[in-house]
Amino acid sequence: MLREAFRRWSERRELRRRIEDELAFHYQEALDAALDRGLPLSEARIEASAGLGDRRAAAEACMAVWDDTPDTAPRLRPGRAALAAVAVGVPVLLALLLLPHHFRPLPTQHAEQFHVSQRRFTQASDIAREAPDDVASFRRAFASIGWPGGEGVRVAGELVSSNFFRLQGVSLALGSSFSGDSRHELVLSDALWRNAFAGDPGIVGRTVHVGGRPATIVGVASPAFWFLNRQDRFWLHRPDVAGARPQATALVRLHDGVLRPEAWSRFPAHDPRWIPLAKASRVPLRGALGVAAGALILLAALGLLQAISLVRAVGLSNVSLWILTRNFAVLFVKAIPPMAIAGVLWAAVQETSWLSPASMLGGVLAFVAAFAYALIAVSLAWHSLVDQRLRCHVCLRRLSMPLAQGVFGSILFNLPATEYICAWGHGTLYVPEPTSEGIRQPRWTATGGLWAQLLADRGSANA
Amino acid sequence: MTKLNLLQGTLDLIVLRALAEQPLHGYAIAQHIREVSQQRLLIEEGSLYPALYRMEKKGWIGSRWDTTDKGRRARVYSLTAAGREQLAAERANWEALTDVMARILGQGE
Repeated sequence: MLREAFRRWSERRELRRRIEDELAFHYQEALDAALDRGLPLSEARIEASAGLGDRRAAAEACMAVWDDTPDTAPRLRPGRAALAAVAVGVPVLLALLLLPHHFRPLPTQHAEQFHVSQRRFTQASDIAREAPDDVASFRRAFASIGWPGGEGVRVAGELVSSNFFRLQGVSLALGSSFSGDSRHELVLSDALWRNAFAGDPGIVGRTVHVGGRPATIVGVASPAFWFLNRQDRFWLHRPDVAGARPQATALVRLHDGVLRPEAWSRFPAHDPRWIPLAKASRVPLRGALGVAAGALILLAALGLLQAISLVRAVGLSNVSLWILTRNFAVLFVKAIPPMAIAGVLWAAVQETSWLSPASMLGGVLAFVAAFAYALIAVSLAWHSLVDQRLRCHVCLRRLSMPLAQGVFGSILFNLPATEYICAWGHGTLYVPEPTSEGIRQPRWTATGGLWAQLLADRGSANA
Repeated sequence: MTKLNLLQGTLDLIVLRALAEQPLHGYAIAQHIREVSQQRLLIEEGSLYPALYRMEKKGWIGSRWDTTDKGRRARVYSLTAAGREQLAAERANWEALTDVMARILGQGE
């Protein structure tokens, strides 16, 4: 089906090119004939254009013949239909993927009481040790986990204080929480336990290597447990090393009406802002909104570029404002698919275990999403600028019928250039080709009301 | 000179007849018709090209890119065997129609 769609698309593209070439040839021949009859160039151009009639309508009629659709029937072009389908479908898919997660209850008991600090700081683990009933600490980490001497699997996880699970009132599926003694202790996620350790029921108490160091597995989390994100595959508690004061984020339980834990009064230098755990956990939605905000900023920048380019080319008028609004709307529709696709890929990476960014596939997909997004953004920006160059300075419609002029062998006397005309007869744009002397500015020549007069003459002659 | 309006459905016949003599490109077809009709038949190019595409799709005419005397690239149309049959059928139809119309209009004179 995809091959068939591509075949039809390329066939239509080829056909459109053929029609354009044929009509351009027709115009050129008519122009020559008018010049041969002694008409001045400006009038010859007008006559040739008028003879051709509405070129776009003729091209559309030819396409309609090829598509077997009646000329008068409204048609939704395949390209636009695909664009519309993606523009509407992908955000819907994104919503379907994200909304269930957004409303899923947190595994933490009394989650509404928990808050996390907005920033990491060095004394978080000290405070957690001082007030284990109110504060825990955690820090993101990536490590390779495996049997001693074996090849490990690189996954994301957290370095946590020993009270991490106890404070949240979370029970493990296997084993028990950290004892807090001098060993490195490890709790595995259900996914990691099943995938890397074949779901071994006797895993508790075994020693594995975490980042090259031995650690004892003390438990396996339940499949429903997750904390802040769904990518974490382990929670490691390691005893403090003298002199080392790594930064960590604080997880605190604030009872009703309490603005900060009592233990905090002993650390007046640190008064972080608190974010409710529920809010901090809605990572995919927040990320998708971030992607959307980024796209909107990009769109605004493109719109501004368009506006500057358009006003410089044709001045400020009601027509230019209208065309600017329409172009901006088209641009917006074009930007939705990459924005939504990037959002979906990002959310998928967040939501699924096998697409962890730490894994090869997840990394490749994240790269592809970012690259595609950047590529399309640059293309849109380029299109936005180039598009303005080839528009009529009166009606702002796209110019057509490019005519090659001059020769490269004689650039001093006959500069190679392309001349475009407004199919509605408002004027011509002479665009010199770049030469070794540099790029010359295009020159616009208005044809005034001559065409209207000629059409009136033809109308009276026909009558 | 009074310009004539083209009757519905006659454009195909005119184009097929023009191509029966020699392969022509779109502009030459329009010019040929204009000259043969002594400037009395004016075919809008906006109608000519869709008609050419329609007839090509039906297999009555074929087309290929060629280079004109001036060195320009033009799409040249030529009549196919099916097109010759169609021309014969449409010509017979047209002659029958004009015969009937002549009888109707000549009634009572």
